[in-house]
Amino acid sequence: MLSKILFIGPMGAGKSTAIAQISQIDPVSTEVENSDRAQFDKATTTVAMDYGEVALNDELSLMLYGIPGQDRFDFVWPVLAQGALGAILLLNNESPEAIREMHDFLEAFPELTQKHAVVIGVGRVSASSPMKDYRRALMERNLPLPVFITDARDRQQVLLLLETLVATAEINQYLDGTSLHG
Amino acid sequence: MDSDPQGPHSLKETCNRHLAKLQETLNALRMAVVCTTDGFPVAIYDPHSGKGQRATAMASTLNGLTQTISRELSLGRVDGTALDCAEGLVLCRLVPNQRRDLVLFTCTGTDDTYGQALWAVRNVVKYLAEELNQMPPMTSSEHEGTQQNG
Repeated sequence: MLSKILFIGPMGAGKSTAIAQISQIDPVSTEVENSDRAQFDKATTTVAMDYGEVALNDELSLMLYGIPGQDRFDFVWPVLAQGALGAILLLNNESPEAIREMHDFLEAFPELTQKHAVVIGVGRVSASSPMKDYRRALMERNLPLPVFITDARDRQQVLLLLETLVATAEINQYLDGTSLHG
Repeated sequence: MDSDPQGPHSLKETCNRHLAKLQETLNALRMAVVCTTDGFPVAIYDPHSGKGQRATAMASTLNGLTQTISRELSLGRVDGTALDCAEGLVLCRLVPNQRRDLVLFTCTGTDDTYGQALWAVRNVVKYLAEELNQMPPMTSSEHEGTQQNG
């Protein structure tokens, strides 16, 4: 079984890094020089998509698509989202707008959000960071989505997000009377 | 050589001048933009649609995707991409130069043939690249200016 997973979130949240960490093929990237060092100080940025592949087990392989995070590229988001089983939403906790960015991306992918097919990974979290703020913001919208502290450079942490997303999708599809495994 | 980014030979002014030449050459030119490879506008000719700035992001995506496809297939650098549409033609071409690579994205109607449009766009890319190579290195304020111009 082959399924498609999206990696969504703002610029600098770690989407390309996460895909590179877990992909079992050389990732396909569309990175170019970053002009917008004021928004996020990194050398390159994705302008079209990232792509990787990983087999979670003998029965399920995942195609991993990463979106370009800046909203000026929002025209390509629905193209990449077609047929996706769900999405990993990566956030940068050091961003003062992290909660708003979470809401923005959930609204940008309404089909996945409505069927709760989104798992959230929050990066750059210090020991005192109030993760409950994210959960409270989600509960205010009646969205009980899983939220994890995630270092996108850590393969095991990214795999945990994927496995959680797949488990959530399986439960949803079981409830819907469909099956992920045909 | 003028190193003032706001001066007569600024990056934006230079690109605008070449877009004006393109406008003189192609009767059916609807839109032309020059942008950075990550989608920030440098110069925009867009008299009607109001989509010029959005086109800069699409230009960088199209350029990035085609460069990646070519790289993955070991076909070398892509100089240009064409979309042959029912109501016109979109040509997207890299403007390679020693300062910083840019992208020229043009949209023409059906009154210009593919050959005319391609010839005109290739000439603009050639002469724009030559002029950019004569300019001093990009300053930090000019670099930031690419995010504000348009």
